[in-house]
Amino acid sequence: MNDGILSGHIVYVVDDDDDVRRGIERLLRASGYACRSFSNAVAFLDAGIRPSGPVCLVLDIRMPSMSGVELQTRLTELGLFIPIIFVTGHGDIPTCVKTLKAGAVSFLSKPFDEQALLSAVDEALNLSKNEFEKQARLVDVKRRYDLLTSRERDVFAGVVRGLLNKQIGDELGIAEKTVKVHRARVMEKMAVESVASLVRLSQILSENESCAMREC
Amino acid sequence: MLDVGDGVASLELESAEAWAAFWRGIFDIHLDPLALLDMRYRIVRVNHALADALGRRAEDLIGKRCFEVFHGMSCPIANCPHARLLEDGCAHAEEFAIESLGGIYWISVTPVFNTEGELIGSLHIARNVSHYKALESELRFARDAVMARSEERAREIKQHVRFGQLLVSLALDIGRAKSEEGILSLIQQGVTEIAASGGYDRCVFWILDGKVARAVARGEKKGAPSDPHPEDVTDSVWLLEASARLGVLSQLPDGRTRFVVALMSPQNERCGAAIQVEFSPTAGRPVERMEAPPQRLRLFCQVFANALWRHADLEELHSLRSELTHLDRVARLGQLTAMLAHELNQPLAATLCNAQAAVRLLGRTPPDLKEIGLALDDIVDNARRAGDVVKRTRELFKSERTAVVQKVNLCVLVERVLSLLHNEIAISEISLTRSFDPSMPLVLGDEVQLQQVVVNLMTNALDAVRGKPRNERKILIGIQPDFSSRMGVLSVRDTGDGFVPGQETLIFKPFHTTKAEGMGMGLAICKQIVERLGGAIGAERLVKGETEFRVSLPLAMDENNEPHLP
Repeated sequence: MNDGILSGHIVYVVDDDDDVRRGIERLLRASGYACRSFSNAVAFLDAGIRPSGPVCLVLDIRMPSMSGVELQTRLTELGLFIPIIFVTGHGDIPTCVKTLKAGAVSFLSKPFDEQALLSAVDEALNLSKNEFEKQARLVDVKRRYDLLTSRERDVFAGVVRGLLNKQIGDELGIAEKTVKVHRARVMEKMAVESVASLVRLSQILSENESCAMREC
Repeated sequence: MLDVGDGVASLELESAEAWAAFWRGIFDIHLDPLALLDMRYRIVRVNHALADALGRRAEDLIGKRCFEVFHGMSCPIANCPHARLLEDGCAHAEEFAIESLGGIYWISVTPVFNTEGELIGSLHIARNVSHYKALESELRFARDAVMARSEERAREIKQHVRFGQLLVSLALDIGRAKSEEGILSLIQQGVTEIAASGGYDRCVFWILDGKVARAVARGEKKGAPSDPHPEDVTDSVWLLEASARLGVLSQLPDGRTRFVVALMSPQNERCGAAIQVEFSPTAGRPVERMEAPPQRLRLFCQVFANALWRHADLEELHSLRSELTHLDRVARLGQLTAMLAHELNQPLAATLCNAQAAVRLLGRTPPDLKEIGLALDDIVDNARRAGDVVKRTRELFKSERTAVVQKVNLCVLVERVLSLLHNEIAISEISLTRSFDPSMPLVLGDEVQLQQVVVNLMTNALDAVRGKPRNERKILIGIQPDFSSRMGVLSVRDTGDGFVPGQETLIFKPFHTTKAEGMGMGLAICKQIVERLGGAIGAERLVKGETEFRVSLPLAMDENNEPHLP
């Protein structure tokens, strides 16, 4: 395995043309990538893939029974984040625009140069990795936040809004001293040492909440 | 006798009988209906064409009155050109819808005089203009379609059309000319105009100027074509073949002089018309100018104009049609190109991937020789695959070629077309069923043309079913022999709504289309190709809402006159 390639990654290849699929797979393997290929979109979905590391998908557009574009839509509906590199025999601009708008990493016309494919795969795997790290951080922050008592969460909110201990005490109707104790617990439970770090965590939490709101 | 030069007048007196027989012959076999009427509307003579058009015998018509026979009236009809001729002794012409002849006719009447110069009747020429009108509208369509398709080609065609128009208008003017003097000047004018229209310096019209014509004949004696024998010339007008010259004057054994005039299209050697005139020696004397040609010249010009008109139109239509055949193939190839690009890009992509993988595998220590071998195998396979696509396509891309009729294995030919369309069929998720009779003998046809027919029928079927739900997209291709009629039958059946019931014939007409981007030429061309090969094509709406196209082609026979098996 090459140095620059992320460990634990998988590149999925979906193309109905046996020759092309084998060619892409061979090129990717020869370049040090781990590969798994499928001859159609339905087989890929049926495999029930739930990625646990950096992944990406090299996907043909024109295929019988389910096209590449339909698979892209389906993955979004399933909430599966798998960066997609489209490859096509004759790409038209409307399809290209549509797939890129829907989040595709790249749109390559066959025949494509290895460099175009490999750099697109690298970009896609990095995107996937970043997404995984983001998810992991969020899960950690949420777990810590869940440890807070409701009073501690109130104090957390006050601190993040930039209020002084006294002001928080007045708002909550408790003594400034008590606020101080709660505040120390919050810092400890959330594993931060500065108010700035705490603000960053609250941002991660609120982003996730607004995402959740949007999904509703 | 009219006022003509002395030489000509004496010529006519001397050869009056020969002239009479000559013109009677022309009259009888002329393709347009002709009739001679006397001063009291009675029919004196009709030709075969007229009797045939009426479905009656010529003898039964003699003596009858024209208005009774043609118009079912008891007195002359309004605007009757003959009635006007009786009043003023001049030629007239009028357009009539004549039910008894079944069409729209341009009727021209020419006065007939006796030797004393007294009016004794008229010659009627009925020219069926309904046919020309249909031709004209088809021409217009064809021109529009061609011009819209390709401006460059249109320019060329425009010039051709212009030439045709000039010829036609010349012929028309001659046909409608009111006076004898007018005819000669019209012809001279027309020739000048045609010559001036550019590139038509080969258009020559010699008229009775023996001196000039003889000089021409002498100067070009070497290249002179073998003149048709006098006995072979049954009509005064015949159509020149490719190598014929334009103006030829020759001495006949009996001392008479024969003169040939011709109008030819420079772009199409076969398009043209010629007139042969013969003179006795006394007429050989140069006639500087013919100010008032004899009465007969008018008839002569009309006959000439008629043939010229018909021929120029048909020739032009023919060339436009073949133009359209080519354009249709190009347009259809445009549709095919997208599919073919895909067919080619697949093996190219696979080749490139494998080659680059092999380079990488070589760079490893130690190189993965087994995997490199596999990559190279795939490269070879894919290069062959791309080559096959190119080979299959090349034939279809050829623009100019002559048809080669040979024994064709229809099953193999259809398979070849299907492999071209394979990707399209798979992507559109169409269920394709083949029903090929294993005992199918070879058929007679031109491979490339038959491929075009199959591509046409298949792309039509694909287009028709594509709009249907997935489980209803079905195409059935059948090939089986019909030994009783000695034909091979190819059928393409689809589940689409190809055409409205009742339009089985209409869909084969040019410019009929149900597609937004279609030219409406596909099926018309298929019909032309198949019929030229001695086959037939037909369409049918089947009970289950299916459409079936059937093409039958003659079976090829072996030396024992048995169907030739592959």
